[in-house]
Amino acid sequence: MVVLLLCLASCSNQEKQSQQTKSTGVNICRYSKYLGVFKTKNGYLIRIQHPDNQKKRFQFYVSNAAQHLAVLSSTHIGMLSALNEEKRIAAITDIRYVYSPLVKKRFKQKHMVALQNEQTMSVDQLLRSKSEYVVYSAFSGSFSQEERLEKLGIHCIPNFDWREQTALGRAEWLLLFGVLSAKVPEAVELFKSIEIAYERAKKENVNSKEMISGNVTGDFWYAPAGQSFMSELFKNSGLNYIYHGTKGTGSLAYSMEKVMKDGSNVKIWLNPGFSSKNEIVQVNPKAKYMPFFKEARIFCYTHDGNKFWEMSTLRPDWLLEDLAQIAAGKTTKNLHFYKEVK
Amino acid sequence: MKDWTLKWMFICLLCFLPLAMYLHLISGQIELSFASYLDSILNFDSKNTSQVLVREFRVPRLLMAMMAGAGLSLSGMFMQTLFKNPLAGPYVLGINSGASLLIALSLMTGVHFFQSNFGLIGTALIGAFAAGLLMMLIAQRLKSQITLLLVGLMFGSFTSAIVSILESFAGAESLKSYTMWSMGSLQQVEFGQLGIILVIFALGIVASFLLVKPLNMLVIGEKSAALLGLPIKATRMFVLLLTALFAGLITAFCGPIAFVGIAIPNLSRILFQTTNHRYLIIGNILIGAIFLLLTDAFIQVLEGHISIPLNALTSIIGAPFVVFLLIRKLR
Repeated sequence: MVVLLLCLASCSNQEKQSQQTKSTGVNICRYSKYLGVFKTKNGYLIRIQHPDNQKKRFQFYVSNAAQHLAVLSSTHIGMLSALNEEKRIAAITDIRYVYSPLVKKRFKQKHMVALQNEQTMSVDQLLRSKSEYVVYSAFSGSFSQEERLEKLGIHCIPNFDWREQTALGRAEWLLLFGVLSAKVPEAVELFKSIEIAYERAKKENVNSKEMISGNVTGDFWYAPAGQSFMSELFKNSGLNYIYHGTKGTGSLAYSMEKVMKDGSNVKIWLNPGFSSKNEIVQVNPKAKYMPFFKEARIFCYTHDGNKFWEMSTLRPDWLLEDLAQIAAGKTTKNLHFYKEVK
Repeated sequence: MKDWTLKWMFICLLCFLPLAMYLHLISGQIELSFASYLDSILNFDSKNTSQVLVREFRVPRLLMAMMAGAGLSLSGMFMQTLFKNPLAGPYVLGINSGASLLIALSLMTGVHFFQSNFGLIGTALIGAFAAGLLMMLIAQRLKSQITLLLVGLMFGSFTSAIVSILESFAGAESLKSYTMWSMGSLQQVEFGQLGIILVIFALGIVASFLLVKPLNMLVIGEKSAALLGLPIKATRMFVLLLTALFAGLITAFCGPIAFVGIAIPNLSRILFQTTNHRYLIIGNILIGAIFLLLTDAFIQVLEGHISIPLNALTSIIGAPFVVFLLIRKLR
């Protein structure tokens, strides 16, 4: 009799739980390749697909807002800031890479801790922060602390926004933070406005001026490949990127000789990684022999790198506006992220 | 090995060197005419891309590959003879560590004096020579070579610990500059800098031949050499100075290049089977230069398909060879 009662109770609990987590079946994400957000009766079901392993899928149910979040990448801070939910941030990696004034202020007031590095972070510090969730980027392929943290009752959520192949796909990860802070309607609304602004900023015609991106690291010039999201952004902003026709979604690694030859007509050089010509030459003395070093207008975001890394994923519309302005050769005083390198 | 056999081997290597140079020159991704090579030297036009490619990219890269290969091999040979240890290399003196430390200090602490007046290469050069000088001062007070070896290794660990601490406090920009320098490259040297590098390198080669007799005597052991009248301390200082000169020069201009300094001197000994340093010096210069020329040419050929840093490729080739040496020694 007791066993029967226990069985009935268990069945009823399972049914109740399954009703709660049963999704409506509609994924509210439209651009993201790896994130799925599904509405359930009392919350949201999150599905995250690992970009390199089809069999690896993360799935969890969120019904209440997280009070304390550990966010291990700048883009996560940017997305929470956009939702005015900085107060939920209890742990970050390094305050030196933070742009948000409010997060900086709260850090000073000791409302959050710095965990330093994703792979070697201090579990003690994390426990001190009382974080319920850790949102990580897994730049090195995996998150070594995951199993141990799950045992401690801290849920680990991978954020693969950086692996998305479209600018709007990246920005759509905002919805994950909307779920975690119980602000899904606001996140959806904000994303819609970004989407509209992005579509509006798109240019149909490509400028005739040739453009190059990247710089030398070691012996190679690294530049976005033709099918990468950056290349897509360049095209959509009207920039005539010289490697737009190449294959691949990651980076190209070319010799300086090749870049020198290919870039003989380049009039715009983007993202050299430094904020002055002097710095560029200091690290790579041969840069001055590139024909575009003297003849092209050079633009970069490094004068305020933290702002770029924190906001550019969420605001591809701003990025597009900047690039379109650069492509058109208009005044570049009011750019969101970029500044001319002199 | 008989003298005539050695001479034939050297003739073969001497014939192979121009071939390796030619292969290195033509392995770039852009095809250039012979006239471009001639004009870039005799009738240079700075607006002609092909001539700039030859003068500022290919020629400095070719000469640096030869000097780096030869210089690192020679400094490795000096260290191995001095310490009587086939696994000693130029970096046991902490030359690389000294250069890295000063570069890290100048980039990450905002001490702009080094950057604005000397540039990164100048900073690395000062660091490398300061480390060499420090080790020489310590060497004067030590009797045992093994202790000096250990001091060198400890110095390396100490400096990398400081660099790690500096890295953890550094800003993103300075961290990026430091990482880029530490990746190393044969392409950093400009045509205008080649003159001074060649002069220093040539002086080092001449000085190396002056050391032939003392080095040959060191092979029989320091005590025996001292009994034969060799001024041990002065010899040791001279050897250390030359090692610091070669390794410092190359580290400053090219960044760290692993295993050449250990593998090539051992390969020379195995090939020539001699302890006569006259032959070993020539052998190391030729094999070192050819090795790095071919390695770098291979990297250039692969450039369109895969990007391999020089340091990684020398390690891939050098590390198994060092393991082979270890196994051979343990037997």
